[in-house]
Amino acid sequence: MGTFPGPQEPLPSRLQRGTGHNIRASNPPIPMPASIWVFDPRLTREEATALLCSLSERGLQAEIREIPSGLVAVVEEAPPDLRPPPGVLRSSTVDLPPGLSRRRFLDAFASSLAAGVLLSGAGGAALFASPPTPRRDDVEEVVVGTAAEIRARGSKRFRFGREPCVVVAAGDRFHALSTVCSHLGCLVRWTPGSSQLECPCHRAVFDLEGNVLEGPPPRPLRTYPVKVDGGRVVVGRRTAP
Amino acid sequence: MIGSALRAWMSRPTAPRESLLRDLGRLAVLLFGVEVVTGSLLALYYEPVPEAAYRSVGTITGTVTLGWLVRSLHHVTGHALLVVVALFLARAFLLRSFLRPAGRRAWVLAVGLLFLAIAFLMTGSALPWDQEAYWRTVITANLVSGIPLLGGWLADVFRGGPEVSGTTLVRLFALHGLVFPWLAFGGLLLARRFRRQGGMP
Repeated sequence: MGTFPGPQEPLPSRLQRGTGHNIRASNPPIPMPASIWVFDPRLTREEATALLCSLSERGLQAEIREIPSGLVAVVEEAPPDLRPPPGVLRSSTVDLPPGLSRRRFLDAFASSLAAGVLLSGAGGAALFASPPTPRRDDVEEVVVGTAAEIRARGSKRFRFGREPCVVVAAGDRFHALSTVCSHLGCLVRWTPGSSQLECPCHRAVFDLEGNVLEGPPPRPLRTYPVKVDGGRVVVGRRTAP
Repeated sequence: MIGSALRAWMSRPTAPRESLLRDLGRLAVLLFGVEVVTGSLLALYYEPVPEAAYRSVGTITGTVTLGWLVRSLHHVTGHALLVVVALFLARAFLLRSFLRPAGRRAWVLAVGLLFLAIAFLMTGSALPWDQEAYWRTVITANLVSGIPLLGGWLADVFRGGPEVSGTTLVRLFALHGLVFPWLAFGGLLLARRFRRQGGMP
């Protein structure tokens, strides 16, 4: 087999390129010890790989590279007590400048991918396990706010269970309506200027009783009974469907 | 420590150009893990009572946040698991790995796991307890009662009585959520050992 440079001599450029270390790093290099093992040239790549099994058990990284005279392994961050396995003719320790090898990049990429999948799974599981908001049918009544507050604002949006709704003060009465358009489910808006509810999707217009004044909706808006109880506006469950 | 263990696991050497089909077993383990996680989540809401079972499944898909996703995942992964185990067996059959001395019991184990996957699907599809589930359970019980000698007794054990009833639903749930998962877990541990001994294809 050919000659192999000792620790003090520069590494062959092919080896440097092969390990992927960025030798042109602009930061002052922090030396990283690495062991270079030269295998018996009679070994095949599979046999050399098998010899490196014990390394991965210790959590060490090794890469096998072909050089003209056979195979070498570069063991990154080799601890001082690391003994080369049988089948290694010669070993030497060198200080490699730090950098991001392909292996490290792939490790980091795979780890962050796995962490992302696990984290989003855990987040989804937490959402699933938290008790759901009750449906419209499970709610008896909702206290929207004080009568004075709603009169001052003119209207107030709220949710009856999951259903987005609005309560509107008109004269001395309050009207509570679902804001889900009966046409395709867009959210209608209360427009104080015209005293109507308008759907932005298909220009449907409803009055305060929920009746369709204009546009394609097949049914009126869903309305809810409202009562004022001790100055609070309370929206109750709808009796008719 | 976790980091170095993970790194060791990720950088373990493999033969070059290894067939992806070698990973069917690992894929089955991964899918089983998904089933365990999603199944445990579904069990948070499912009620194995005839009056409440169908409604609770509706609650999961309709009301619970991401419930539709968890239930679909559980459903689809269950079927995918059956496909993967079947592919695994087909590969073992074509490679004739059961002819090796260590491969014989591995083959038997793999066939057992295939039947277990089918049993998972049969019990799981009955849990919503709608008309289809009820009649399917009746048919399953009749199938079981056709087994020679022990069939009648086994069918009674499966039904929890002479008729398919609410007791049957509780038993289906216990089989699907407790008994079969532990069986599968043990089977997969055994499969790992067989694989290390070179038996598993």
